[in-house]
Amino acid sequence: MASPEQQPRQQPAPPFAAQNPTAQGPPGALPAARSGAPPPAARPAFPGSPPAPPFVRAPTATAAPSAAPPFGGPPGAVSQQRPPFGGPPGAAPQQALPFGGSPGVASRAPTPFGGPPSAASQAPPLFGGSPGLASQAPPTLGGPPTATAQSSLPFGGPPVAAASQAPPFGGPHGAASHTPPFGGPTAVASQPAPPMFGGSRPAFPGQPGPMTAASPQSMPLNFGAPQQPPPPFTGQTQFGAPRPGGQLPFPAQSAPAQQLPFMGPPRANAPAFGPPSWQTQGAGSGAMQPPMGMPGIPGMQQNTLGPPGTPTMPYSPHAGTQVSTPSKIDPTQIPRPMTEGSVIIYETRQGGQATIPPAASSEFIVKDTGNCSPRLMRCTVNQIPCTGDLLTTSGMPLALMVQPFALPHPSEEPIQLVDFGEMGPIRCSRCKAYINPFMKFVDQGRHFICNLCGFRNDTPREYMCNLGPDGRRRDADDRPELCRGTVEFVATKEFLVRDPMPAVYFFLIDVSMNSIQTGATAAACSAIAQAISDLPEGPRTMVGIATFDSAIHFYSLKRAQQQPLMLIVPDVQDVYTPLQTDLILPVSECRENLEQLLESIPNMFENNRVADSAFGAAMKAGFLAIKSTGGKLLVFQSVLPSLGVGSLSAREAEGRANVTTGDKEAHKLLQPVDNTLKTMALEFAEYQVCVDLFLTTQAYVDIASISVVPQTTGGRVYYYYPFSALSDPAKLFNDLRWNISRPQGFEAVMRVRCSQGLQVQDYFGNFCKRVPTDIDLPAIDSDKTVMVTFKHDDKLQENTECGFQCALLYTTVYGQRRIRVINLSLSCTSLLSSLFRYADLETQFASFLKQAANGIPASPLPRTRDEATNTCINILQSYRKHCASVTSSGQLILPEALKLLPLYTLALVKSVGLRTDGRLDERSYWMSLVSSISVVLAVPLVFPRLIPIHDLTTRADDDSLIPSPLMLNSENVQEDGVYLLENGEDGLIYVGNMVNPATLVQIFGVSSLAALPVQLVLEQFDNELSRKVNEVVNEIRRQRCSYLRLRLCRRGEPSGDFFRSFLIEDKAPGVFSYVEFLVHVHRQIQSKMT
Amino acid sequence: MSAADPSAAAPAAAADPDGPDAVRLTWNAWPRSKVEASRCVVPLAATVSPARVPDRSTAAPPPLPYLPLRCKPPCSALLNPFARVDFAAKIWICPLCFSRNHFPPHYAAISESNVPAELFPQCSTVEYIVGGAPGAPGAAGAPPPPVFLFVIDTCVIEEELEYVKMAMRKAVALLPEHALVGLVTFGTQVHLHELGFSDLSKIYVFRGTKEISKEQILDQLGLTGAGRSGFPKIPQQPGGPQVNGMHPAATAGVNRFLLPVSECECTLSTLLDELQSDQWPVEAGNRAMRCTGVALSVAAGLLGACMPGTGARIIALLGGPCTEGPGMIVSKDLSEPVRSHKDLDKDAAPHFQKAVKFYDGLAKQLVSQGHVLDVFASALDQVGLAEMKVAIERTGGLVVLSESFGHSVFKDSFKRIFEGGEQSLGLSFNGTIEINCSKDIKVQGIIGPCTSLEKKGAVCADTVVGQGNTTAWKMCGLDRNTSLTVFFDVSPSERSSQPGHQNPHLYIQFVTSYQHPEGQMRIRVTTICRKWVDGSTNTEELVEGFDQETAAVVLARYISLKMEMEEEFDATRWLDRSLIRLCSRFGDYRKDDPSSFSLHSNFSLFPQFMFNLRRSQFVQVFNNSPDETAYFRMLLNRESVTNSVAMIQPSLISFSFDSPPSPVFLDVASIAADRILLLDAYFSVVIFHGMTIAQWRNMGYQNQPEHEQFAQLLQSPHEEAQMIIKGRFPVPRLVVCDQHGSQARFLLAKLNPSATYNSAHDVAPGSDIIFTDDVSFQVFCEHLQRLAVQS
Repeated sequence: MASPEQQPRQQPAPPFAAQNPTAQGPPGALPAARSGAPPPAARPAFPGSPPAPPFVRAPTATAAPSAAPPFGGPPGAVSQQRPPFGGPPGAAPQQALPFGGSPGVASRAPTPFGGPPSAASQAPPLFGGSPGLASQAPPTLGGPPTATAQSSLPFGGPPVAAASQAPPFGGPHGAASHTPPFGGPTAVASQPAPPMFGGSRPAFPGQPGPMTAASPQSMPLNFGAPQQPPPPFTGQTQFGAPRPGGQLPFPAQSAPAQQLPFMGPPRANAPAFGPPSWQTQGAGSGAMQPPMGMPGIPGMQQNTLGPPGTPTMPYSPHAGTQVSTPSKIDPTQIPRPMTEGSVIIYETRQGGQATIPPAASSEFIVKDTGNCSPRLMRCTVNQIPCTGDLLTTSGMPLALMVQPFALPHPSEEPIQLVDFGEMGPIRCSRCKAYINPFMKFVDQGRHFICNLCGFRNDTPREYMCNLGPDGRRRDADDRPELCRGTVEFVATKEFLVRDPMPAVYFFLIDVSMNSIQTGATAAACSAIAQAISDLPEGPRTMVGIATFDSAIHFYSLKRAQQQPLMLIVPDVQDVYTPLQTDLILPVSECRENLEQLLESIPNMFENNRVADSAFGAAMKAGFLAIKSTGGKLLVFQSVLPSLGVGSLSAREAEGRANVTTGDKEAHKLLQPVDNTLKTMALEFAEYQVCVDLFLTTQAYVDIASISVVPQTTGGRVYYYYPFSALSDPAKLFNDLRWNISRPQGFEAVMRVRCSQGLQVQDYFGNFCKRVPTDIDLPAIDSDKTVMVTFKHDDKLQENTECGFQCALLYTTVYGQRRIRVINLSLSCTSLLSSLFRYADLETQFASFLKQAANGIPASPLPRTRDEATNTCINILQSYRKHCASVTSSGQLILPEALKLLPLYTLALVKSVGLRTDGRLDERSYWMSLVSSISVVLAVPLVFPRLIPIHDLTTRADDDSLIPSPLMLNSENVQEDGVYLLENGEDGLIYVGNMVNPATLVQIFGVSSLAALPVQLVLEQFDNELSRKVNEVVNEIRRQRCSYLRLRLCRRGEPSGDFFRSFLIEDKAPGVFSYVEFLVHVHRQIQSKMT
Repeated sequence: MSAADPSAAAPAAAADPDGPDAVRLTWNAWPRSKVEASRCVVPLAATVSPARVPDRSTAAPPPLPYLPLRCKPPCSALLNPFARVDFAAKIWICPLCFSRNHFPPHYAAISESNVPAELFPQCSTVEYIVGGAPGAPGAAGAPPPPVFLFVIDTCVIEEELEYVKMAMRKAVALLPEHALVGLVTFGTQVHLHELGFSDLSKIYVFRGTKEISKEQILDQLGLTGAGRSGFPKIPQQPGGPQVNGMHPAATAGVNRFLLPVSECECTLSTLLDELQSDQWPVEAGNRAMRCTGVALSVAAGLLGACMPGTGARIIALLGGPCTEGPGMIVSKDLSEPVRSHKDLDKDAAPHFQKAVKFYDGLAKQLVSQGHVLDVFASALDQVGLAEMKVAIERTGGLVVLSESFGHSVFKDSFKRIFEGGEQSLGLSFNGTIEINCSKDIKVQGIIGPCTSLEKKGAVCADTVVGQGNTTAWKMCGLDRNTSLTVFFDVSPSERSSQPGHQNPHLYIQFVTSYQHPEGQMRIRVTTICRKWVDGSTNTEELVEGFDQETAAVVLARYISLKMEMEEEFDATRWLDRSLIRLCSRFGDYRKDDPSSFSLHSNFSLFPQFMFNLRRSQFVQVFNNSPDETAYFRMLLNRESVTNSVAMIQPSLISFSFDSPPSPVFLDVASIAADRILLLDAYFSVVIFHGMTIAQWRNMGYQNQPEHEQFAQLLQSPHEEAQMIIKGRFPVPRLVVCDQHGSQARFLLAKLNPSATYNSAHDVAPGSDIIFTDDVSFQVFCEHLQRLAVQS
C-alpha cells in the first residue's frame, strides 16, 4: 500500500466540502458550479457531488488523480490512492492518531445528502457549510456524550469533556491528548500491538482470547428481590468470575474510570446507537464496573437512584418467588443504549485470530488485516457454533449481513484491485473459491489448501512463491489477495458473457391528471433535470426518458432533429418500443434536449385529463427500451396503476368494505395481488434492468404489489406520502441524486461460499434468484444489504476457523467488470457461553427484523408479533438456562452482548410494520425498506433517535454535532420544547404547545404556533439556533445516507399521535411499556424454566 | 370478312361516345325471352358512368334545387321524362311499373306549358341538389370538407423518400384550405401523427405485427368518448367547418389528428422535412419490415372514429410489400420471392388468402364508414395490390402502379387528384346507386368499383355476376370516369309473356346519390328507354342495336371476373367459343363455306377486339405479376368504354410527310422507316420513330431551319401524346423509342404479328418483323370463318 505519509496532507475542509472556497482538493470535488445561483427549484443539496468514479482506485499512488469521493468527500489528496468511496487519502496519518484524528475525520464525511431545501439565494452550503465546522468534531455515530445538564447517569457514558476542553476530535493532537472516555488513547496510539479499540469499548471486553469466564457479560435484572444482599453488584458476585476486562487486556476499561470517574453529572439518558456499552452503575460504585447486575431492585436503588418524581412502574412480584413487598422497577435503571464515545480503530484480525468487530453503529476505522471490514460483511455471532444443535439451543440466528458496497470510513484504506492478467484470479479448482488469506500454502508453496472445501490445489506456476519460516508465503504481505479480507479482481473473459454494460438510466414519469395536479410531475422533472449532472461522466452513460398516463410517451432526443419527437405507445396491454435505437442516448449528446424536454413536460401535460396510469405497461416499455443493454429504470409514479398490464385495484378499500374477510385475511393485502408483476420483474432481472420506484402519491397505490418489481431487480421504493409539492421536491431530488451517484455496480452476480460443515440456507434482500447458489443483482449499491442464512450440514472442528467468502461479480458504472471478494474467517466454538459472549446484537436484530418483515404478509399480525417476542424470549431463556447459574429466580438475567435485545424487540413489535393501525401502504413500504436495510440502519428504523433541538444553542458545546438522544418516552418530551425524532427515513419535528415564540421564530421563522406551516420546509435563518438545527439535520442526513422526510407534529393532532407512537418505552393501548415488557419477558422465561 | 376500317377503332375525341346519359348497352334492343338472350352470346349489360360530367356542348340543365318525386313503393322509381303525365288530374304514371302517382301540392302549378325540368324530354339525366350534409336532405349548411389521410411508407431508400416528400409538398400546396389532412407513416411500426399538438412532434406508435381492431385503435387513441380522451387543449371552434356533420364525440379526435390544411401546413412541412426512412434495421438477406396492413387499419380506424359517414380518402403511398402483421404477402426473407400467378394457380402462395381476407374485412369497414382507399404503389417488385384489390375496388379507390415515386406515372397522377378545375378528376364521395327497371328485367350484379348494399328486391336475378343480389350499391369514392358494368337478365313472367298488349319499350333507371366535389349531396337520375325485340327471328333489330365496343369491354370485364373467381377457367377457349357462336348467330354466310362469311358493320370490329383481348394482359396474365394484373383489371373495370377499348386494343396513329396523321392498322406492317407511330395502349403511350426518322433526328436535321417541317413532324406525335396523357388518370407511361431499339418492344408486343421470322414474305426495307410464334390476326380470322360456318 502506498505510504500515505508521503501524500499531501489533507486539508481540513468543511466536512462536506461543499463550498470550500479554497481549492485545495481536486477541483472535481468541489461542486462549485452549484453554489452560484441554483435554479429556483434547485436546492443546493448534495453539495460535493464529485464527478469522479467512486470505484476508481489507483493501482499506484499516482495513477488516479483526484478520484473524488462520490459524496463530496474531502477534497485533497491528488494522486493518492483513494478509498473506494471517497475516503480521504490520508489513512495513514490518521492511523497514527488514536482515534482518527480530526483532519481526516473532519473532512472525511462522505456527504450523502446536501443541505435542506433552502432559499436559493443562500450562499453558504447548507450542509456543514459554516467554516467553523471545518475543524469541528466529525460526525459520529454514538458520539461522545454531550454536556446535557440533566445527565443523571453517573456512569452512563464517556465522561463529558468540560466545556472548555477541546472537543475530543477537534484536532489531531487534541484527539491524541484528549482523554477519551474510558480509554487510554495515548497508549493505544503509541502501541499498535494492544487492542486498538478495546480501551474505549467496554462492551467488548471479551476479546477472543483465553477467556474462560462463562458470562461476565451477562446482566441480571433483578425483580423485586429485596432479600438479595448485594444488589447492585450481584453480577460480579453471582458469577464470581474475575472481570477479565478489569485485569488483562483492557486496562483502559477501568483505568479511565478511575481517573475520570464521573466527570459529568449522572446522565439519565445515555443515548447511543452504539455498541452495547450500557453499564449499570451504582452511586458509589466508584471504580467498580459491574458488567452485569442490573440494579433493578427498587428497594435497593431507592436511596441511590430513582430521581424523585420519576414515575416507577408498579409491579406485582411473581407470586411464590417474590416476597410480598410491592416492588418496582426503576425505569431509569433498565438497559438502554448508550452513546459510544470515540472513533475506534479496528483491526480485523490480530494474532492470527478474528477480532470482534465494533458495534455497527459506532464510528470506527477498519484496518483490514485479513478479515473483511465488518461494514461489508458481519455475522450474527462472532464465533461459529460447531454443531447445529448448539446453534439451535442458543436460539440465535446464524446469518451474515453482506453489504458489499458499504461506504467505508474515509480514513480507511481503499479496497485494492488485483489484476491477474490473462490467468484470471486464482481459484480453488473444486469449489471455485477465490484465493484469500486463509488458503494455506503447503509443500514449499507448490500446493494450496482451500479454506472452504479443503481441497488441495496445485499452485499455478506463475503464482509460485516460496514459503517463509512462518509457513506463510514470502510475498503474502505484498499481495493484497493474501493479506486482505477484501480485494477486487479484474474479471477476465471467462466472466464476461458480453461486453460490460454501459451505465443506462431510463426515467419514467407519471403524467396522469393526479400527478400533474399535485405537482408530482413537475417535481420529478425538476429532480431529474438537476440530477443529470450527477450521472457518471463519460461516453458510456446513457439516458432515456418516457412519460405515461393511459399510454406511454417516449421521446427521441436525437440531436439532429429540430425538436424532440414524442412517440406514443398506446397499447398498454401488450407494449412494445417505438424505436429500435435512439430511445437511449449518451447523456453528452442529448443533455440540452433532455433538459429542455424536462422543462416542458409539466406544461405539455398541463391540461391532461387522463386519470388512468398504465404503470406496469410503462415499466415494461421502459424495459424494452433498455433491454439490449440493461440499466436502471427510475419510475416516478403517483397513482394506483389502473390500466394495462399489471394494473391493480384499490384492494385497501375493498378490504375495508368487507370487514369479515378484511379482518381474517388482513395480511393477504400485504401480499402481491398476483404474479403479473413478479413475472415481469423476473424478466427485467434477466436482462439486467433494475427498477427504482419513486411514489409521489396522495392515495393507496398498493405498494405490496408493486414493490415486488424493485425488490426483484435490486432496486428500492421511495415513498412520499402524502406528496407535498412544497416540501417533498427537495427530498425527491436528493433521493434521486443519491440513487444515481452513490457507489454502485450493475449486472452483478453474488455468491456466498462457506466452509464445509455449513451451507448457505437462504438469501434475503432485493435480488433475483434463478439458481439456488447465486443471486442476480441487476444493480447493487452502497445501501443494499443481503442477508445470508446458514445451516449446519456437518460438525465443525473446534479450534479451527470457519470461512465465509462472498464473491460479487459486477460491472462498474464505467464499464469495468470486477469481482469483489469479501472474506471472513471466524473461529469455531462448542461453548454456548462463547456464542452469547460473541453475539452481535445489531446484526442479530437486523436478522430478526428482516425475518419479521418477511413473515408479515404470510401470517396474521398478532402471530408475527408473538414470534418476534418469542425469539427474544427463547434466546434469553437459553442463556438463563445454560449459561447463568443464577440463584435467584427473581432475576432477569441478560447476556451482556444482548442486553438490549428486549428493548429492540419491543421496538420491533411496536414498529410501523407490525402495528395494527397503520395504513397498508405504509406497512408495505416498511417491509420493502427492511428487505434490503443495512445493519446500521436496522436499529434506528424501529428505535429512532429523539433529539431536543430547542436548546441546541444553550447546551454546553460538546464534541458531537448531534446532541445525545433522549430515551423514547413521554417524560422526555416537554411541551415547551422542540424535538426531532428520526429513524433514518422520517424526521418528525415535534413542537410542544408551550414553546417559546422566540424559538419558533428562530427555527421556523414564524412567531406563533398557529402560523406553523403544515408542510414543513426547513429553512436556515440567520441565527445560531437555526444554523444548529440545520447542522444537526444535515449531519443526520449524512449519517443515514437519507434525506429525511421532515414533518411537523403537534400535540392534539394526528401528527402528534403519530409522533408519540414512536415513543416506544411508553405504554400504548394494547402494547407493553418497556418495563412491562421486561416483566413479561421475565415471566415467560420463568414459566419456561419451570 | 374484310379487314375492318381502322379509323373506326380510334375513338372520336370530339363526339361523346357515351352520350348525355353516359350509359352504353351491349344491346340496344333486347330480346324478350331468356333463351333468346342467351343466344345473343354477349350478355345484356350496361356500362354506366354515374358521376360523369356531361360535355359542355350538351345543354344539360343545371342541378335542380329540390327533392325528386318517387313512385310509390316497391317501385320507388323517380319521376322522369318517360312518365306519362295527366296534367289535369295532376297524376303521373310511372313508366316502369305503370303505377299512378299524384303530384304533391307544390307541383300544383304543373301544366303542359309549365313542366318541371325533370320532365323535359332531353333531361333523361337530371341532378338534384338535396343538401349539404349526408342524411339530412335539404338541410342547409356548409358542406363537409374533403378529408385526406395520407399513409406513407417509410421503408424506402432515401431517394424515394425524397420523391415522396416532394410529391406530398406539392399535394399539400394544392389542397383547398379547408380540407382536413391527417398523416400516418409506417415501416416496421405505424406512426400516427397528432398534427394538432403544437409543443413537439407527437406520434402514436402502433406495432406492425399485431392485428388491431377498430375498437382497440379508438380506445388507444382516446377517441372513445370520456375517460381516455386527453388533451382537450385545442379549443373547439364553434361553427367551424370541421364540426359540421360530424360525429359529436369525434370532434376532439378531429382536432387532434385531422386538421384543416390552413392550420397544419407548417406542422406538416416540418414533419415532412424531418421524416426519415424507417429506423428499424433491416438484416442482410431480408426485406424491410413493413406493416402496410396495420397502417391501413389504423388509418381506417381513425377515420371511422372521426369521420363516419363523411367522405374521406385514405391515400396510401406504398414502396414495397407488406412483410409483417395482417395483410402480409411475403415473409421478410429475401430468398422467398413474392407470389406469382403460377404460385397462385398452384396454391403455393401461403399468405395470399389470409391477406385477401384481411383486406376484405378492411373493405367492409371502409364501406360501412363511407371511406375510400387509394393506393399509389411505386416499387420495382410487387407491393401486394393483388391482395388489396378488394379493398380498393370495393371502396372505389384510385390506384396507380409505377416503378418509382420519381416516375412521372406517380408524380403526375398523384398531383392530378388534388388539382381542381378543368383537370379535376371530380372526386366524389359516399355514392350509392340504385337501379330500377321495367318488370321482366332483373339485375344480376355489377362489375366495377362498388359494393353491394345487400338490399334485396324484386329486380334481383337468380344468377349473380360480381356484386349482386341487391338493388343498391355503395360507391365510397367515384369520379367523372368511374364506370360500372351492370349485368341484366330477362325473365319474363307468365303474364307478361302473353302476346299482345305489350309495352314495346323497356326502361332502366339509375339513381345515384353522392357527395359532389363541391360538398353538396346530389341525386342523379338517369332513365333510359330501349326497345324490346319480339320473337326469335328478328335478328335484324338485334344486330342494329349491337354496340361492339361496349360488348368487347363487357366481355373483357366479364372474363376477368371469371378468371379470378373460377379455378381452371380457360379464358382463351371461352372467348373463342363465344366469338364463334356470335359469328354463327349473327354472321352472313352459307353453311360450310368460309369464304361466304361476312359480318354486319356493327360487328365488324368485334373479332379484332377479341383477337387483341386474347393476347392482352387481361387474358395472358402469365406475362405479368399478380399485382400488375390486379392493377390492369381494376382500371379496366372502372374506366369508360372508350378508355377500356384502348386497353384491349390500342390505337395506332401514323405520322409521316406523306399524309396527315391517320390511324393505321395495329399491325407490324404499319411500321415504316419514314414514319413515326404513336401507340396508345392506355397504360403506356409509345412514340416510335422509324429507322430513317431516327437517323435524321440523330443527325439533327430538326434543328436546321430548312427542315422545320421535319421538326414539326417530330413534334406532333409528342403533342398528340401529351393530349392523351393530359386527359387520363392514371397518367400513362410515355415511351419514346426508335425502330430496332430496345424500347421498341412496347410497340411490337401490341402489334398483330402479320410478319414474323417464320413468314415467307420478303421483308420490305424499313418494315419490321416480330419474333413470335403467335398466330396473326389473318390466321385467326381464317379459323374463325371456318368454324363459324360449320354446321
